[in-house]
Amino acid sequence: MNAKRFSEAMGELDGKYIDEALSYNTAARRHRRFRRVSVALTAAVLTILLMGTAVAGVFGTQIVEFFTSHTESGYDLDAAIEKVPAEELSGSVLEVGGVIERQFKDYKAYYSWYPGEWQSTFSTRDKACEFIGFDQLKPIGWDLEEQISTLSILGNEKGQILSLNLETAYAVNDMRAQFISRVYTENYDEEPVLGIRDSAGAEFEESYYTTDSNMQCHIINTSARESDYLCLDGYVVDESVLYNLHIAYKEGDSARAMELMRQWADLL
Amino acid sequence: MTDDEKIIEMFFNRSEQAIRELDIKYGKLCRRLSYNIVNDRRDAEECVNDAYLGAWNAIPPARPNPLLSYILKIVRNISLNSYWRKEAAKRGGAYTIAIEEIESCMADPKTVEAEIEARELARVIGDFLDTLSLENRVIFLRRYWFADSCRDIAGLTGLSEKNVSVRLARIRGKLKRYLIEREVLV
Repeated sequence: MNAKRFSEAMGELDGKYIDEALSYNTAARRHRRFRRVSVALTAAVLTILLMGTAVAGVFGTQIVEFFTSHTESGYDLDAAIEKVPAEELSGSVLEVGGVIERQFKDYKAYYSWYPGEWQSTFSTRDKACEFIGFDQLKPIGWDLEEQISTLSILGNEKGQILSLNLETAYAVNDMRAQFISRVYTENYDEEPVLGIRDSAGAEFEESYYTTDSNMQCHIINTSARESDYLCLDGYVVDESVLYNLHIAYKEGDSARAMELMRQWADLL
Repeated sequence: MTDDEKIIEMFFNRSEQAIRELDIKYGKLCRRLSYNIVNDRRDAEECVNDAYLGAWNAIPPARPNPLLSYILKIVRNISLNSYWRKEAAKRGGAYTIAIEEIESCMADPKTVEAEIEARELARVIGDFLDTLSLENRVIFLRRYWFADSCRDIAGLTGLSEKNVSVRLARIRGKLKRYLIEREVLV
């Protein structure tokens, strides 16, 4: 669209939008805490980071740091994602807060588990989504056979839900795929950073794919490990949900894995 | 009687004090909006003075309510006239950045713009704005009407600058899809 034309049309907008923007209730501002991540970078990593920063304004995820050492390798991924008010969850999931609150109350120091996490499995992802009752969590019409869906919920001692992690496993011939959806509530008081850890010596390569609906899929390819499996991770942030597809595959399936990744991203 | 009503009464009584009161109350906002667009303090000052003169000529018979958005609309129109009169290379500033974001999103070689009047386009954009959350609507207006920077919008909304930038990118994408669906872009 011609910039001047857009500009003229904006000038013709109903005054109610201007008034709304002028009187926006600053009392309703969000209060956020930002975690500063200290980063030690080699020159090579710095190059990658700068590339990530250049597109950070557009994409939902960006690499904070790639690292590799003689014990492990991995990366930290910063996700620009909207945190949702817990009231937007409407399903049976709301009862989980009470369960977690009781975990904290009943916890004894000598227990072999820690309070603050609740987990359950579902036969399908759709059933898990229904349990959560969050409108923005998208169903995915993927014609792959679902194996199992696992929902993990983190909460605090007040019984407030902090985050939800829904993981659905698929088997595609010799490939393994896990579709993960993450939601963070406003009770989660840090900025979400995913720490991905792999075996020593793995190398990473990042790229981007624009989906049919014009969203950005941030793709990270992990080189072959001792198991001979390579990994492909795709990340898409859709407002308040971070979607991630993790595919483990053997070298000969590289093209098929990438095809699956794009198919998945286009379905979101 | 509110301050705005008193100012309007002064306009109706043809008291030049009306301009002084208007400037005391809203001059800072007017100059900031104009500067965001014309990117030059002296030009912005001239645009704001022209806007006051425009208001003087229009009130009466006009009795604007609210007064602020009325005067800001005049400031914006005059500032944009000044902006488009300048050669492209000399424009620069916050408004250029904002408008380039829109242009790079909408100017797709695969799409053609349908013939549509500014007023009709404004109605479609208004309908689109109604589909957004209040916060996203404010972010969009602050960027493309007021030409505020992402940093300023972050300060207003309490979001991070990066988050504002990401949201704007998503809103532009949604707007593009919305315009294509309504055959404004075909």
